Amino acid sequence: MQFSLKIFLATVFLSIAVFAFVIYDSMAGNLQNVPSEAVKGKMIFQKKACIECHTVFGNGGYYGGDLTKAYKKFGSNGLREYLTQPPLLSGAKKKRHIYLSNEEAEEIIAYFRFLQSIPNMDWPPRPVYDKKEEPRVK
Amino acid sequence: MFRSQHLSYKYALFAYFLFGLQGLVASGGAIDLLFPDLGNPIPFASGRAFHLNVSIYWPLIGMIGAMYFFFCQEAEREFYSLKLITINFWMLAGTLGLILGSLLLGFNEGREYLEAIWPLKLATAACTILLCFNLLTTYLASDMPRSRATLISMVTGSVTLIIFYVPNIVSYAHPTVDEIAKFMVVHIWEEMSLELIGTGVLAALLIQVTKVKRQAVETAIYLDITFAVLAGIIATGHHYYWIGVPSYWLWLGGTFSAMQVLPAIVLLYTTVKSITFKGISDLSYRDKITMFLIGSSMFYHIFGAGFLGFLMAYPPLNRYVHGTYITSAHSHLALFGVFGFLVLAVCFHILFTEIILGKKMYRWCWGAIISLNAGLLTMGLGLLIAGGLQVYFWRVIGLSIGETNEFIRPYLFIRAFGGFLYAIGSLTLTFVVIKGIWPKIQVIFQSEGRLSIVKCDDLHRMHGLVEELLQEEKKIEPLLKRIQVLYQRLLFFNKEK
Ligand code: HEM
Ligand SMILES: [Fe+2]
Repeated sequence: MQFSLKIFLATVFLSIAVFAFVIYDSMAGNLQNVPSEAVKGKMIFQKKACIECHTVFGNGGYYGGDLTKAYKKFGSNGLREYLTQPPLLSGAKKKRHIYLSNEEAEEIIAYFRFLQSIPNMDWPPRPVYDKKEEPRVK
Repeated sequence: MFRSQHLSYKYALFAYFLFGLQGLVASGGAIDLLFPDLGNPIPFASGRAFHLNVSIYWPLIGMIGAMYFFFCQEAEREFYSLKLITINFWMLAGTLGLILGSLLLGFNEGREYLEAIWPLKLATAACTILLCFNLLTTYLASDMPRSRATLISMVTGSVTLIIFYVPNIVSYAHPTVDEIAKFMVVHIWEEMSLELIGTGVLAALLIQVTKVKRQAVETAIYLDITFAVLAGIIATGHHYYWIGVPSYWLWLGGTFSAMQVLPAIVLLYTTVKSITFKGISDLSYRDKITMFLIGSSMFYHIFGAGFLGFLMAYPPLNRYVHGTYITSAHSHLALFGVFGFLVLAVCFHILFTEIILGKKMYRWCWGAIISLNAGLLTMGLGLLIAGGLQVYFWRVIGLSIGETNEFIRPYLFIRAFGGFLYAIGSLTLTFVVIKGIWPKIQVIFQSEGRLSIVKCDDLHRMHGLVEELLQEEKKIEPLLKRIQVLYQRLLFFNKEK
């Protein structure tokens, strides 16, 4: 086999092996168990395709803002009210936020409670000029 | 010409069709964002899922077609199974059709880019397995050197498509695991597998078009693909910074992302070297278009993917720009800019190998490509400014999402205007291509049929010779001889029909 081919194949196998190992190390013993209520909430979040407008961990649609720490920001009551009595979308006169039933809202809230407990190096960052200890509530 | 190459035309044609469709749907989405009350026929979520899925599948389908076209040329033999080329096409087209249809009907798995329901993801995996089977068996049967760089990069790129797709057929209970898996497709497919396939296809095309010596580019290809693998796989870390994994991903992702500029530089060097080898003026109309598209791809490879990506991958900066329209600017500039243009280039070259596009149509092609570039740059700029303002309003002074959305509205208008230019370009180019192909459309979809084989390259050379003949009367004799040979070939081919 030619030298450059050997180097190339070695790079492929080594990189995949290192990548697999680091991922294993990141997950093993590092991830909390997901409460079953939160798993249900996650399924609703997926079925309603919330990710097309919102981000979680910053990944998703850029229209509706990030929901990683939504629980901390709005609390159970705030979230329940928002989801079951959806307000108008910003800039719209008719179009409202998606509606959820009470039961669905409870499960989504459980999911958000779990989400904000994941240690993700405190992303999203607190605004630079926001010196208040308490998070902003709209 | 190999039979396999004939069979690959339909992939290239389908890629163009999807590309035209993308322009339409995306414009609809951009308008929906600005005027939520307009009553868009497609719900925003379905439309966006549609857009994201087309954006992954159309370059993929184009690249697979390009592999069927160039792999046999590089292996200097027919594919192991010609039937599988056609079966693979209908499987891919059918799978994508079902995916897009089900998304419009509201079936959505709720993972960005991976919205298709799992049976259709299984079908996608099966398509890539079929492709790899045909590539590997052909590679093993080929008499060419085992280490031929173009073959190696196409095979490796395709095999890694399977490896990194399979973990994504299901979704996971833990959101962090979902994200870890997702970027094996969203990142590794685009920045590693397609990079390898694209490099192999591009090199094969340059060797054919510019007649650059194989040995001259062989080492450069190896350098390119080795760097692409070395940097690309672990650079997935730049998507893992904030998803709930240990902090060592910050420096791991940051370091390997910085290395990602290496393959881009090697690729640029190789392309420029081989283009100057022949000189642009000698090229046929069709290859001038091909080269313009390749040049566009290179431009975005350096600026949209390399430079912007490099800045965004620096963790302290990423902490602030992550999850804003800046990411969206980069996705458009890199995904369409690099792979979109590359796929358009090779598919254009492929489709007009035997079918001759009227001279007048070329003017429309130039216009369309300029419009695409202008549209993409405008869109990128609008999104960059909108994203910059989001960083300022959210992350620096801490306004709410609703207030921020009001401030960035004007820049989303600029983006929609860019999208409009882009859509005009994409519809024009798709129209020209489909119109050019239309008279032969049946033959393209027949597995036994033959096009009237006057190769474009022969025709172009004939043209050149006659011009030369008129200019240099002294050399008339030998030129006439060459013309005679070529005429015989052209006539012979035509009889074959
Ligand atoms: C052809 C090459 C490339 C393609 C097709 C590409 C494509 C993409 C896409 C589609 C995304 C969006 C992911 C999402 O929405 O979640 C993205 C994000 C990103 N890319 Fe690239 N990219 C390319 C090259 C690069 C390079 C060379 C770098 C770094 C050196 C880079 C760094 C990043 C970073 C840091 C993000 C994440 C931004 C964020 O959300 O914080 N990319 N890329
Ligand atoms: Fe990436």
